[in-house]
Amino acid sequence: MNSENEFSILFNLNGDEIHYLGDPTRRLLNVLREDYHLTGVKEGCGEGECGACAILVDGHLYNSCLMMPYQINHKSVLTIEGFRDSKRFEIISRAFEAAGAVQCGFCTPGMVMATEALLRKNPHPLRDEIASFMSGNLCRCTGYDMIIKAVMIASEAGDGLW
Amino acid sequence: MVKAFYYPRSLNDALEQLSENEILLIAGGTDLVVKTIHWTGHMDFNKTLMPLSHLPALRGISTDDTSVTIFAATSLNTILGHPSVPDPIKQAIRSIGSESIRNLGTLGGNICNASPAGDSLPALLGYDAMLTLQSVQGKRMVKLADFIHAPGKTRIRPDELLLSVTIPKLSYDRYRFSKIGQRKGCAISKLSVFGIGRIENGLISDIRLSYGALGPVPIRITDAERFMNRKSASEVLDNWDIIENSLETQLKPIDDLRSDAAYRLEVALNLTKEFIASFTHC
Repeated sequence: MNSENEFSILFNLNGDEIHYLGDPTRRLLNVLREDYHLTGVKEGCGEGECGACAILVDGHLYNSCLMMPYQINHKSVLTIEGFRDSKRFEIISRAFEAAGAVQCGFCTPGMVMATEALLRKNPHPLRDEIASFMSGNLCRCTGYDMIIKAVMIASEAGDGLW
Repeated sequence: MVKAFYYPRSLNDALEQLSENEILLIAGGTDLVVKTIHWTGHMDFNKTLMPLSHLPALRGISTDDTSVTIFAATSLNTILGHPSVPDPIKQAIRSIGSESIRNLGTLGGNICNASPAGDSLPALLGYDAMLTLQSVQGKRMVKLADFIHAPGKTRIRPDELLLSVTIPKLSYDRYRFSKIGQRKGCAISKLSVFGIGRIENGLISDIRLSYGALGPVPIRITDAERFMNRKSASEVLDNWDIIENSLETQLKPIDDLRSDAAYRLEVALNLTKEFIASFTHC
């Protein structure tokens, strides 16, 4: 059987073409943090429930703690580090500040990526749609009201950007 | 460290590997990874791991006049975005995990994981879903109702994989999927109740009632369905002790970390009653 313990993939990471050669079953979370030093990707629960490790793959929201490198073969991965130089990040970042949606900050990169994923899908979400879309991102500080408000502020301030 | 990893180039390649080797199949991995991972982040799979989600032959949705076929490795969110998938099925799928989990998780994974709390299963049972299993020897069809026989156990052979799920386009006048979890979003079911049915001349017709996390496998209660058909909702509600008796005998809820048996049964009965009450005034 032609099995592989070294696995080769090509993917785009924050705009750079990357060739990864290594264990195909390492967690993508570890690959991003350890190999590419993208420490904005956080490990919270490690089982897909908290969203601290959220990234975008081809524009859609994923938990990197549940993924392995083979799942991003020929895809585009965006982490908070790659997103932070964009106009949309600036809008979301200001909205989070204005609403007081950041306290300890550990969930924030994941919340920001989830906000971006939501606004790409639905530029003007209703309150319930925000709560439902963000239900996979946990915050133990804010109580969520400020985060939901932040998404609404971003949606309004960034009208036409998404 | 994984024993071995095999990345199939095609469906045929995957089937050939399955016929020759002992293999652990993985689709989205949202259950398998969580079950397997150590706190350090390392995963130990005891068999050769073979991913399936990238194979085009296992993805997508096809539809004809009478049925919808969902290929096994189609992501849950892709299914939610497809216009031909019936709303009752979508409502159940929408209750699974969160946006990010539904991007990764697949319908075939939810079925083959065979969890008593798999949230697509009561709705698929209500729809009499048929599964197509494939091996190098060919295809065979199995009813979902016959496929899962114990928690985590299915009748799939080691050389087979789940190719697709076919559901008929049912006509219905009422449906409801009620999921009770610790919170609304991103929770595993304490219990779930799925009901769907038609109304003919003011009487209940072709009703289907199925239950999740109320026993070792998701289950349909066909004798209660038969009792209800061709009766009015008020007649059914007047004879509620018969329904209660049927459900109490056939549902086998347990006490576990998420809930307890008495709560599960009581809420299942109440939700069933609520669903039947929705057939009144028609």
